[in-house]
Amino acid sequence: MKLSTKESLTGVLFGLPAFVGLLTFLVVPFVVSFSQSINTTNLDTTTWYKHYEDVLSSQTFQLAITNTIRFVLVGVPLIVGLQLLLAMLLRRETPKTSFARFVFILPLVVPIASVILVFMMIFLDQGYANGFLQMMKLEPVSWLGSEAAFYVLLLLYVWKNCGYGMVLFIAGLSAISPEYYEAGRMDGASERQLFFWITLPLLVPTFGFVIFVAVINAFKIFREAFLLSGDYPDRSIYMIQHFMNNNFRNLNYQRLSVSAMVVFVIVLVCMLLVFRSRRADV
Amino acid sequence: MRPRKNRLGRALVTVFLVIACAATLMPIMVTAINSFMSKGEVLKYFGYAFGERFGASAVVHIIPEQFMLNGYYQILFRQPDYLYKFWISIMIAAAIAVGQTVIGCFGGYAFAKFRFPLQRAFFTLIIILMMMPLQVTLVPNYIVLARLELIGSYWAVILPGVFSAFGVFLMRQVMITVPDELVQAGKIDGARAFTIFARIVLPSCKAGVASLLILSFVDAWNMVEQPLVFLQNNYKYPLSVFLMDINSNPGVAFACGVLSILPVLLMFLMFEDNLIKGIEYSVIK
Repeated sequence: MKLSTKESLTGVLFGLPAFVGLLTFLVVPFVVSFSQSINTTNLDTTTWYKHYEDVLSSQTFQLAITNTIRFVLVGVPLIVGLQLLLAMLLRRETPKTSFARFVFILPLVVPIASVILVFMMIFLDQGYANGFLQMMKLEPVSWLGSEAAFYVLLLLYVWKNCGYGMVLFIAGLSAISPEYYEAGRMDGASERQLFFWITLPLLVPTFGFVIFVAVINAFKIFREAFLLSGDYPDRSIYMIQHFMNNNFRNLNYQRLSVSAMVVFVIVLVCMLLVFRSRRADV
Repeated sequence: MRPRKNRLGRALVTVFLVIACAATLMPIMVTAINSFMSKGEVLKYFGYAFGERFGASAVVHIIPEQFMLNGYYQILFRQPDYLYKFWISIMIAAAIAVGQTVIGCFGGYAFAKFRFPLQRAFFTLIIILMMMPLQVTLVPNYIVLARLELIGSYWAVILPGVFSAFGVFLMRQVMITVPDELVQAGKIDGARAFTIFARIVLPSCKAGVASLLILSFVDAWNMVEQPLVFLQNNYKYPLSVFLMDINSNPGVAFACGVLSILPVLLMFLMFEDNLIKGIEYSVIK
């Protein structure tokens, strides 16, 4: 549908407040951040990437990136799988499923600072988790001070964000016309075959959005990690946001900007790959 | 054979769901129940969560010994800060919610129903920036806001929140589902652009609008870093910042937690249907 110049102009006018705002508060700051990541003390073309060298070779940075990627690669499939499972179980609308849906969405709207104390009560060294272990005559674990912290954070991530994807999947599932299932059953397909050959393929667009949201939320888990363990948590959960936050506190903006650019490039590459593969299907 | 298998399967599913629901509700319920305990009791049983050395572990203490409203009394009547910060939070969150929705509607409409140069590139850029952690834009934003001489005023928090990428993104997804034929019909009837927007497109997106309202409200309600950096004035901090400090005060911590959940919970209960519909819209392309 080709639109005239006048139409385009109308479009731009409609979007103008949004564009101006987005430019001011999103794009411009990003450009400023980029300029801070470049070394401008000598203004020759051979050392502009000095900051990048420093940061990329820093062990702290490498740890942060590794942990963040590890968390995303482990957490996203886990939560998406769980969300799909819950959505399949709760796809019909009954009083019971409505209640269950409500319960699972609840953690999403509750301010995490309100309930973080309960998690601390469970997972601190003197907490319930270790108490339970002792009762079973097992060794107590330092939940927040060891590798286990990664799994505690994972638990928090799943607890908080499961509801969102679940709702998305329920919506996607309800968009599948029951006629497909009828046709499948008439042809003698088993429940399993129905799932793999009808449900899953028709859910592909939903999957895309759910994964997108899950990744964004995986980045946001920083707040929970910070509430649990502060600026310098255990090695296993020191993520790129911790790196950024600490450099922010130290007023070390160059390192902060460099890490921001690196994250930007990584995300950009991933998105391009996704778009490329989608276009290949169509 | 078949009915028996079905019954067992269904029983297992029910058990699984019940356990999952209980586990999900548990932190919230515990916070609520603990808010009725007195300070001494909290310290006695949960002291370790507040940095104290003592505090029994392995002792599951669920039901309060004494049902006391002291926590609430302290925080509501003795410390005037709380109510004041409560209203600050409401004001900021409401302003951001409304603003973001309005801007999102206009911007989303532009991206959804029009073509203009650099559209795709701009939108992709926005999406990627949306995914960035907060700290990326925090300092540059400060610089921009300082240039605009807004630091210290509530606008420094409200404006960046209003012009967030999420609003535009969500409304674009919702508006794309409005059939082009409807827009064409409007044009044939001679409607001007704004009329098409207000009378045809928007009403079809009611659920999306409602869901954006509540999502941005919740986001703004929980905002901590931006007020901290942009306001720099203890008296102006909203509830979310206060909540981070108060978690070290055993007498009122749980009560504060409950009180800060309530407004959001209320909004959620009011808008739940719309919220779910709105989220659904963003999926059905």
